Amino acid sequence: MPNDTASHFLKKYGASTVGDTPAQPNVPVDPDDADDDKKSTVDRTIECPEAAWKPIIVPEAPAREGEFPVRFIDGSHTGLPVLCVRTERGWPIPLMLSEVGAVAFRSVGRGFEREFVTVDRVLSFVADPFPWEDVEAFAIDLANKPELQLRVLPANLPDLAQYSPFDYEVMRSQARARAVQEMANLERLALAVNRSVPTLVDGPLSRVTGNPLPGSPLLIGIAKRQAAAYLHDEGWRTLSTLRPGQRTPVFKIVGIDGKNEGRISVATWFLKLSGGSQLAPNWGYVRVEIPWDQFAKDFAYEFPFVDRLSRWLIDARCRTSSYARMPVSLEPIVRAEESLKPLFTPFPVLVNRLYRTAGFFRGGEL
Amino acid sequence: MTEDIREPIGRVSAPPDQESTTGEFYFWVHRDKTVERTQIVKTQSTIGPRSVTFIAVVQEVYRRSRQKDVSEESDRYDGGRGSHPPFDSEGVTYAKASVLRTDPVAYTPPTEECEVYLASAKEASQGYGVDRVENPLDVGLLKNGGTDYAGKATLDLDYLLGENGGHMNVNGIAGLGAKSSFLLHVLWMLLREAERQKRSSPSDKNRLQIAPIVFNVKNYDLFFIDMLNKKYRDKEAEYLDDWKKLGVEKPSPFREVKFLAPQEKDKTTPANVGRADGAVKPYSWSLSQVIEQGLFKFLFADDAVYEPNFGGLVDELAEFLTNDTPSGPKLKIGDGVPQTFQELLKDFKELSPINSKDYAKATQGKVYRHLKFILRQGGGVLRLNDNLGHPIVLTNGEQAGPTVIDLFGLRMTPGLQRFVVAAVFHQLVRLRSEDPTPGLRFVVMLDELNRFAPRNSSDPITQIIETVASEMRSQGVILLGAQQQASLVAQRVIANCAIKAIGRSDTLELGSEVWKALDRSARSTAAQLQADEKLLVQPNFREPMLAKIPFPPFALKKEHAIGTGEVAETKVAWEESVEAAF
Repeated sequence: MPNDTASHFLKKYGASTVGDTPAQPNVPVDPDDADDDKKSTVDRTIECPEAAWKPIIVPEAPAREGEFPVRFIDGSHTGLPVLCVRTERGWPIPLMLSEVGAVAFRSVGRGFEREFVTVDRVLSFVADPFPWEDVEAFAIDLANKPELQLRVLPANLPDLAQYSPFDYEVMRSQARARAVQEMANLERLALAVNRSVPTLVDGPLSRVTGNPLPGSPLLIGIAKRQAAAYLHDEGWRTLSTLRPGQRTPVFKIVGIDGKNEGRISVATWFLKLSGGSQLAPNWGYVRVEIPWDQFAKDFAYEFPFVDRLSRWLIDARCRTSSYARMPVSLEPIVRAEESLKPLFTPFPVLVNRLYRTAGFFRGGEL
Repeated sequence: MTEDIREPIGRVSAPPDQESTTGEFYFWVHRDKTVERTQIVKTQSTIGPRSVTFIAVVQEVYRRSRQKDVSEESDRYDGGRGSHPPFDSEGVTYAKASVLRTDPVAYTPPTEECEVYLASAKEASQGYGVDRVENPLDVGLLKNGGTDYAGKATLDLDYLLGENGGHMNVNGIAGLGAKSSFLLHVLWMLLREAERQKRSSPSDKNRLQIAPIVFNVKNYDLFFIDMLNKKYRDKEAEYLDDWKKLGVEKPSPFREVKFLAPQEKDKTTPANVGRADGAVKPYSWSLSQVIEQGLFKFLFADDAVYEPNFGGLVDELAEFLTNDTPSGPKLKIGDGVPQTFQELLKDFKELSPINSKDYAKATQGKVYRHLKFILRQGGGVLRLNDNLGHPIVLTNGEQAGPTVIDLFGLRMTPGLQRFVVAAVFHQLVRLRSEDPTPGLRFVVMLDELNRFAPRNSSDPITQIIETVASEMRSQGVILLGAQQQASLVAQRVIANCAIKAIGRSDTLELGSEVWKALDRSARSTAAQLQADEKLLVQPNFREPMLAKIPFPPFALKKEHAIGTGEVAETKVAWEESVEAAF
């Protein structure tokens, strides 16, 4: 390989510049929704029989020490496919340039301190079709360029029995999934740095943790995306009639061992944070998760604890109406995100650096 | 770049609409730090191959919440109905700073994210270029926020005393007693510096020499500046601390002050200024002395004197009365020339210039009426029947203390006040033009400039003050002027003042054209100054310097004066003060 291996790799595989394009048909399942595994087993009789589901008003009793989070984990991902190479067989392989990061925020008094933060620049693509030595040389070269410091993340080849390798969108989705997975890895790291205090994670717990040890501080997950159907008809009716400050009964999502590594069983419930005359009925609520073992053993199935935690979450809701996801956001998470985003390099700058490295002039031809 | 061991207070930020420029930059402030307007800060950037230090003064401090509008602020508390969010908004404090100096000189802004520190006293002083000043004069304490100081507030004597510029002007609203007090303070520091130089280099012909002249325009307040201020003594410990920071161990009242007040009508005594110790001497002029000092035309202190006919007749009259001798002009004797003002009035119509028929009756009548009016008003200052008065005669040499000349006693006759001012300035111009002493500066303090040199006026008094302001600084006549509204003072007088001091001023006044050079922040500061604060504007300052002026030890009104018995003590204190300056 010549000295400028990055440029060589791109030339060898006919790189061309690409940009953001609308999602095409035949899109694989978004890995963000992976938590909503339809194969999960759901037990909706934890707090009451399925037929007896109805909205529960969250009382104003405050949470006790150890029952509410003082540490908050959030991740962020910014990325786009910026180059496209072709394998010898002619498969289009998008190269997704991303910046991923995670932050741990800790509440101190009535304010916050950034306890941990990490940001990484990554280039993800389906690498299997290329000779490994080419990929490795390309990765080393990108990592060693001081202006880029880009880490190559090989993404999995899609299931060729299900998807065509000529489908650009399938390859793009694989590359994105790898970048998002890397963000989750950083969130795991942020979580692992300090497990001595109750911690809230933005997103389902399974993304970032396995089963916590017995007696360890409370872990809370907040899922905003609700893609899977965990509820029965009465459950849906209950959910759609929730008013701000109300929750559904607690139910259990049983984790699947073995195939889905790290998926843990959780006690979960929907909590309506926000509402109003102009809010759609499927908006304004989050799904709260806590590890089933903690709920069952540490809190002994105590539903008043669920109420107290719910009250704390309602109080900590985001009140910034200009924030697009305000109805489903918590202020500590919004603040954590605000603290993380400014650490990212402006994306056009990163793209231009990569193009310059690749020998592209103003995004044109090689 | 050298590492700074101080704790930074923030970092430079340059987002859109708040970009750094060569003149100003923004910085955000650490949560646990405080930044105040007027504080002096320092930052250092690596720009290209070199490290550049920026010293700047905080123009304004801002606080921004995390909310986009007031509705969101209200929503956090649910409209105020008892709801209390569990977390504080935790906005951000940021400040705008104006660059005072870059080292090395660099016409480039600081870069974002550079650490910002509070400047040390040395850096603050460098910010205002004091390290480059050859002839500094400390006049106060350099304010660094609301209560702190960053060393001394220093002026450049080369800008005050005529080398690079000259004169000082103070603007401020009435009632704070901060204009005369400040000018006297500067005078006191000048005298002290002159004394210091005299002791250190007595044979140096170019050393600083001061001959101060102070016009008293309000009550008889300035007739007690040789006495200790009771208010000062009551809080001496507090005030002395400021003086010591300024390097003055034992401040004292003025010493060796000469007091002159208008002579009373038909008497030989001066107007009663409230002193019975005989320290006050009378001043007055007879006709012969007016001629000798070349003051005749100033009796007609009116725009009319510059009308061709009126002015021509006045000039002819003066020429008729004057006998030019090798030792100077004298009143002509004989040929029916009147020897007193009374005779001048009586014989006016018989005098040859009047009878020359070169002038219309109306012009003759007008000159006569003007003359009669001023002489009638003249009271004891213009001696109607005396051949000799007690004219103000200024010494062409350095003085240990100021000469205080009262104008307040002539308050009912503005024309006469203007005559006295003109008589003094005219004499100064003559002294400096004819026989200048190297290093000697006549420093003239005059309050209420709007009365003596009003804007858009062209009367002889205004013109002479304009001449002093624009031409005489290089010859050693320095004007320390003051007024409430600079916008009402002749433009040339204000424009020629190299150093401007601004006390608390009226916002309407600060909006006028004359203050356009001050930016909005400086004008806002000027409107909120405390009585002991001054904004100092000097040509080499990129931004005004905010100074605290120590409380004066000398009395500024009779009620505050502690007896003349302490004059001897004053002298001792002064000498101790000067000694301490070495």
